[in-house]
Amino acid sequence: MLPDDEKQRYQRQIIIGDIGETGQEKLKQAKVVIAGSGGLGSASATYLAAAGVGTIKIIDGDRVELSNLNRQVLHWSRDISREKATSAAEKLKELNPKVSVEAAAETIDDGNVSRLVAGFDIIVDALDNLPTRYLLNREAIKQDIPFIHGAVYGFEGRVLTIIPGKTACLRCVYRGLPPEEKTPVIGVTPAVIGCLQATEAIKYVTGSGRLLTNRLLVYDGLNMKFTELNIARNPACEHCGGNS
Amino acid sequence: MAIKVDISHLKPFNKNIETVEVSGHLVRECLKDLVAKVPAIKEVIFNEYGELSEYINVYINKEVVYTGVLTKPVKAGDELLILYMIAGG
Repeated sequence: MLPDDEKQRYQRQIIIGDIGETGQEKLKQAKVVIAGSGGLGSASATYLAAAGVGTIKIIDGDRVELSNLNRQVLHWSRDISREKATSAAEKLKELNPKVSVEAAAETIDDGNVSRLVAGFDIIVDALDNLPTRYLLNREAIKQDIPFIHGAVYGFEGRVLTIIPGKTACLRCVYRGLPPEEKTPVIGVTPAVIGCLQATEAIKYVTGSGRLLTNRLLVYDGLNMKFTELNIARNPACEHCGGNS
Repeated sequence: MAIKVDISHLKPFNKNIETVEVSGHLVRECLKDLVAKVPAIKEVIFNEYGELSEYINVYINKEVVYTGVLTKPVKAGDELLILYMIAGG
């Protein structure tokens, strides 16, 4: 049973038929780990905290730089040089004191990924590089944790929800490692994509709607167009191919 | 045979060209015609050995193709879409 102040805080979403008080209770019990607090992570974390996701962990080993501030809206001018995970957690707690927020100021690697995501219900992939995305994808499959992928470039973005062992994973679709470059991006793009990732997380937790599984959503902000591409599990996938 | 290829997601390689009409009976023929028409994307589509680059995916009528991509048959009215991997956050 939700206390009165929470009923009031979340009243506008509780009156959505697909959520209701039962859905709000599920959000309160949910544990979401967000890998990255950059452009994608700022948007998804903000809306998941506002929606009342009970436990949020922010993983980010970077420190805030001036060039982050065009898009990473959880970090402000006063935060330059601070740990991003701490900066993000501080804002989220202020936004919604009802939510438990943990800051993990660590860079995800082979040695810590298992510990960092263990016990969580959902992983939000808000990273900025493919090697770590692959690492997280593999760990999500290993620990059977739904994985919500988002990525951006310029005015373009992509979203995919992965239910381990059931739907196509990131590695089914992506294989190589393109040469690294400084990704061009305008803040509105990760804002759109991060909000879509948060939407998927809320839908998963509350059991609402139809998840973006086996469908890669491609957002083209310049033409203001969303394209849905049909994907399937790849039998040759080295992460989930043998896991059917 | 007219096949439409959507290259709008190959920024910044595509010189702001959104779609190209190509001809061919196999995906390989279509892509060769494509890079003849838009040479700037040749190195994005094919690797140094002339094989399909591992950084892209080809979709036929919005369905992903994982294996034997170049030898897949296509027919008039089909639409190819080429997606380059992105990873920014």
